[in-house]
Amino acid sequence: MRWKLLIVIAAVVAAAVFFTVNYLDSIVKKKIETVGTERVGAKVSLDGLEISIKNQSVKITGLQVANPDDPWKNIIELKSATVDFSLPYLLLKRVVIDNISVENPVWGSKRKTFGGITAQEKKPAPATPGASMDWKKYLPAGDLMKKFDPKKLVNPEAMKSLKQLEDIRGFAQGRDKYWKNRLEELEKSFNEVKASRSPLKIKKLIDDVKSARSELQKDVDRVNGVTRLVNDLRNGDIQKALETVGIGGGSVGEITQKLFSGMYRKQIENVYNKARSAKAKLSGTGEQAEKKKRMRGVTVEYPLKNPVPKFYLKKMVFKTSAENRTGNWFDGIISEVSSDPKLTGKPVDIAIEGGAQDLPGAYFGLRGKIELAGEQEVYSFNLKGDEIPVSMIEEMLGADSPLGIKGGSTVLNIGLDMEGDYINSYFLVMIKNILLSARPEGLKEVDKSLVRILDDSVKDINRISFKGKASGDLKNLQISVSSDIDKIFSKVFSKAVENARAEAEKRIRKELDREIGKRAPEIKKLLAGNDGRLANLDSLADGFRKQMEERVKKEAEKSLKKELGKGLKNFKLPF
Amino acid sequence: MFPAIGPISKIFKILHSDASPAQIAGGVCFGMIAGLTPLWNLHNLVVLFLVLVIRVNLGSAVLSFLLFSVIAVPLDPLFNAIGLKILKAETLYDSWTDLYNIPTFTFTHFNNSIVMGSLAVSLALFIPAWAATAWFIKGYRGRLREKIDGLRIVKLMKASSVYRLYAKIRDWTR
Repeated sequence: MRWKLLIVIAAVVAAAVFFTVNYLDSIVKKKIETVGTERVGAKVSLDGLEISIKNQSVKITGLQVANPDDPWKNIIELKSATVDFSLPYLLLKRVVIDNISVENPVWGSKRKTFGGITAQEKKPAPATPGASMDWKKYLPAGDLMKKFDPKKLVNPEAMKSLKQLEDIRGFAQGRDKYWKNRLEELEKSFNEVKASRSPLKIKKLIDDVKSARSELQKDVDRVNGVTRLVNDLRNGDIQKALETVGIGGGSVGEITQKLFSGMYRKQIENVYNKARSAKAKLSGTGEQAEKKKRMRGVTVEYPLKNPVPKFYLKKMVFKTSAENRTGNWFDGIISEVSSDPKLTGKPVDIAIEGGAQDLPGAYFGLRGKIELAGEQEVYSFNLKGDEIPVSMIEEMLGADSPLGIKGGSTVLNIGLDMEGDYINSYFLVMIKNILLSARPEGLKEVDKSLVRILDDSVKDINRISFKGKASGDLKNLQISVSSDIDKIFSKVFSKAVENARAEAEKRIRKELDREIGKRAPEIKKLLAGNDGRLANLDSLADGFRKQMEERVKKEAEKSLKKELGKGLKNFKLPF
Repeated sequence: MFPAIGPISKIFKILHSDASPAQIAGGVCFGMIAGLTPLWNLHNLVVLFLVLVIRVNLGSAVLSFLLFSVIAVPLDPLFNAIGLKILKAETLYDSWTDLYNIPTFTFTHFNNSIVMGSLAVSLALFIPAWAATAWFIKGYRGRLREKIDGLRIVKLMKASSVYRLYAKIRDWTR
């Protein structure tokens, strides 16, 4: 019986070995998916996994980690990743990874299936307004047409120039009738005088004509004078209309203060809480950790002859091929990540670049070193890059953080220069909307009209600088930040306001001129009519004057001849 | 009450069997090691192998393992204290360090205080336990077996349905 038992045990062991060798990959794959899903709170899936003990490597393909906050998107997706680990160190309970090579990592990619862990499949959420807006399509002019409708702004009741034109038109129309009647009377008088040949009547008629002519000239001068006045009034009316448009205005100051005093704190708390939650899940704190704490015994650690930290990642390389740089991609290298940087003696080195789908032409890069130095554990985070990093501050400042921080006062200095094509109107408006409205959930709707207005104004701006300092601990964190974003916004808004005002003025002027042009022909016609009348009166007056001169001449000859008698019959006056 | 009859029956069966006291004692001692120490450790594979290869009584080994597993739980603080003392002993520090640097040796969990303490105690008790068990069995078989068989309650039990059940179980376990 003893030997039977031995054979049975040997068979069981052999079966276990066979099963492990042939099915280990699928077992581990299933475990990763199950545990990962549970820890992340959203679906984690792998297309394949290959473990090679001989080569000390693990290769995974088709990893997708869904976003629990947005289950139709992935936090990260990658085509393949190979992990080269050190088996001897693993047996010594040290995770030493020589290299992780990640191929085509993508963040925020869309999923084909629902990534949440509910029983029912849900429909995709509606697209966030403005999330995929192509800002380049929207030009300031187009938007101005809606916002600043010149037809509404050019109100004849409010425009002094148009009111004057209306007045003068009314005046000219009224006088037109008057002059028609008066000239008819003068013509009648002319015919009567012509028949009577009375010198007194002729003189009176001439005086009447002179008087009429003078009065008519005054009317013409008056109309001409108002026309000149309308031109002056026109400029004032345009400025008045512009004032009602309300372009510009408001204050763009203190953006930096608002950003970092209110909003940023909430962002830090948000990240801090997420980090704590993720850390608790990954390390199995809570009920499961309680069980682990009740396990029997104390494990005594002894020094290793070749000491390494409990976790040591020598190098992690991200590679994205050119044709895959269309969505949210990143590429680069992170090296010397360890749970005890003092032991490795090297700073963490980060050099990553990437792009974002929603920021056309955007490019960001992150380069920096994290060093531990001094008693106060000062971290110098000098980033000469283009992206605000998501700092896992809790992991850096916490007492039991993997970086071996022991608390105490901590100072974090950040200097950051952002440079790139993605600093466009969309980006700036995004910052403005987040900061000035202080919405903790972040941007939901970009002010489209503002984007369009800023569009042309920001073409030559592609750099923003931030400088920050954080000290204390998480419960009492002091943050001070300075940036040139206020200056940039002032400059940008000034330009935008200038551009918008010029465009609005152009449109208002055009509309006002159109209204003036509608009224002008009639006035011109009336003026031309009066000009004709003036000419008639002139010729009438000339006619009478000549006639008078002829008559006076004849009468004078007659009188002289009579006075001088028969002796001067043949005498003729020299004139 | 009925589930308890099985192990009791087993004990009596072993005591009344033809196995030598040394074999029974050996089984008891190996069972003691497996029972006192945490189960899933490399040394228990060695114990299992020895139990299967060496001529010790399997039944006594199993019963002993069950019994000492129960006894071990309240003794954990004692094992912990002893284990820590051994693991932190200055004279042994270099040896432990050398062992710790052997990659596969960490699977033995030797640097766990409970494992070390319980293993040390069980190894220390191995020979005394073996001697005591062998002596008891010899004594039982020599003097007590007949006396116990002669007890009235035993006779009553034998006559009762309980005994019939016992007999059934006894026959089943043969």
